[in-house]
Amino acid sequence: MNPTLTIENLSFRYHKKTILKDISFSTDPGEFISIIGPNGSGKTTLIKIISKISKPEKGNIYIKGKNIQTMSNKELARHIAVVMQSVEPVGMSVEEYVLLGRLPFFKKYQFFETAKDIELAHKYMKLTGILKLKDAPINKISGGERQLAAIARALTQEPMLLILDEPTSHLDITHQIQILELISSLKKTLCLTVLIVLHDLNLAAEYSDRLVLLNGKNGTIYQTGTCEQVLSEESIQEVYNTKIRIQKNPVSKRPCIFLVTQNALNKKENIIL
Amino acid sequence: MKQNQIKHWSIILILLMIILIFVSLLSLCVGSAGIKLTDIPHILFYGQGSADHSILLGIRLPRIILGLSIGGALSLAGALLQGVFKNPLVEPYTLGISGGASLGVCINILFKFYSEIGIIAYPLSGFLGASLVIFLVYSLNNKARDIQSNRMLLTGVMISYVASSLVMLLMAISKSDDLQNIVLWIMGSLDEPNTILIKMALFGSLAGLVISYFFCFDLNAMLLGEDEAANLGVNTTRTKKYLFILASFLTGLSVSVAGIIMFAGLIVPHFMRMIAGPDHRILLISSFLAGAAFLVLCDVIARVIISPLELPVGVITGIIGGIIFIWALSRKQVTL
Repeated sequence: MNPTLTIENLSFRYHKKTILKDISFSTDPGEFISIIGPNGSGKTTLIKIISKISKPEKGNIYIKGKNIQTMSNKELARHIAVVMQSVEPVGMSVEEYVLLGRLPFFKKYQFFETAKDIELAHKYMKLTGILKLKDAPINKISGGERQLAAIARALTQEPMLLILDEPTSHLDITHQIQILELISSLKKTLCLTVLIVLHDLNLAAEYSDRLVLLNGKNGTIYQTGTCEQVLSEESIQEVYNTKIRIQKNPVSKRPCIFLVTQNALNKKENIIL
Repeated sequence: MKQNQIKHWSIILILLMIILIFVSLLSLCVGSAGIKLTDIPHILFYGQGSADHSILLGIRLPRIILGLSIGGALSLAGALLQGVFKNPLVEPYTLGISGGASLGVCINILFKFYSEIGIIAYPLSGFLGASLVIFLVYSLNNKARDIQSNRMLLTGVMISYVASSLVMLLMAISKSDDLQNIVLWIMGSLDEPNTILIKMALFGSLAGLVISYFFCFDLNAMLLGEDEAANLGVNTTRTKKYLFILASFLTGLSVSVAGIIMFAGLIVPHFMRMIAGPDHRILLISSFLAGAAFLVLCDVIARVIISPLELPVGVITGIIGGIIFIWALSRKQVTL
């Protein structure tokens, strides 16, 4: 099967500091891949390079075998949709905002949205559960609803690859689960490839098919693989420099991370003594 | 396209057209020689050679056309710049672009470029001065992570000061007849006897309006931020460059014909955004029409307020605009 996204030997430097070095991995159609790693390990940078906002120092990126440097921004936007960490609280309505997802498909000299554009926007607003908010201004709805609107906008682009940059970072657990459940069901129904940056390792473990663990120290990939392969106590302790324990989530049997605090260690010592 | 949105947009456009026609007629009637509205058709058709006829067609009509063009051009430039910078306080004057244009025109007057390459030297020098400033302001602030930051406004205001000081320097070293030219022009007025410049202003601003529509979707996407716009397929670097050139062209044209008219490009797009919404498909044309009506109205006020004397129209827009600028700045969304 032709991989949706292939990244080859990607390196990126900013102000002479190496952010990413020799990054290579690929994603198969319909795969849910999480990028994890400490702050400053270049997760967001990687996404910006894939969406052609930043230029890599070296290396190539292919979408369905086609180098993105040979594609126009508009062509790329018909294949990739990106949901960023937060949505700019602008004064437009949710519907107007979601319709912006159709911009890459506008023909030259087209001035109004077509019936198809509106139909698609409504379809994905319904799917994400925000159709009832369609006339509400973006700056008046809650952060969770705004994130859902951003996903609806991205889906309206009908991409084959959906990229999300910490879509749940400012949300409560209700919305975190709601959004990740939605994305993982979309993955199945639309056969979407999902590349997501997640801070919460437990959420990543629950939903991902594979993980890419970035090493903040030298900008390389520490490990790529299934959740069980990547989420080991040794590798997480080394990359994050934090004491943790890993056990199986009692329901999903996926790895689950527990933090080890100094406080708890002290108490434990007391008990042993 | 949704029916009710088309309806909403049409109502806005029709209302603005009515206001524009009303204001133009008002401007046609008001002045030191009072002419009744009901007499106008008669004078136009039968009064050839009469004093009223030449006042209407020779003085007031060109003035209205100039007011419409300049008001439209400045408001459009303001709407474009506010869209690019996502800052409601940005406009040709606050960014220092008008200042740059005025410096360009002053140099033109002083070194008499106009006698060598003709009347086109005025808008051309204005355009060059304006584009120099806009690229300067942008590149000075591009490195700052947050381009919306009002640091850019401060840079613009400082550039305005530098430009006006340089204009004064030029005035100080210039000969007396040049000096008079510069002073008259700097006062900022819609009283322009040269019909070629008036035509240039009219067609230039209309052309600017047409060209701006090639970027209306890019501007809509840029409302979400530059990265989001890029994700939606907009080539933001190219779009910004073209829009800067377009805004410099509109500003340079306005300043070279009518002097510095402050804040016209600030208030009008600001209010049109409240009324028509942030979609640039309606915002650009409605800002143009409302700006045209606004400047003609300000000109009427400038002519009657201390009648029989006349104020420069820039004084009126400066007072109204300055107050609204402070009001907009004190609102919560705008942080300095």
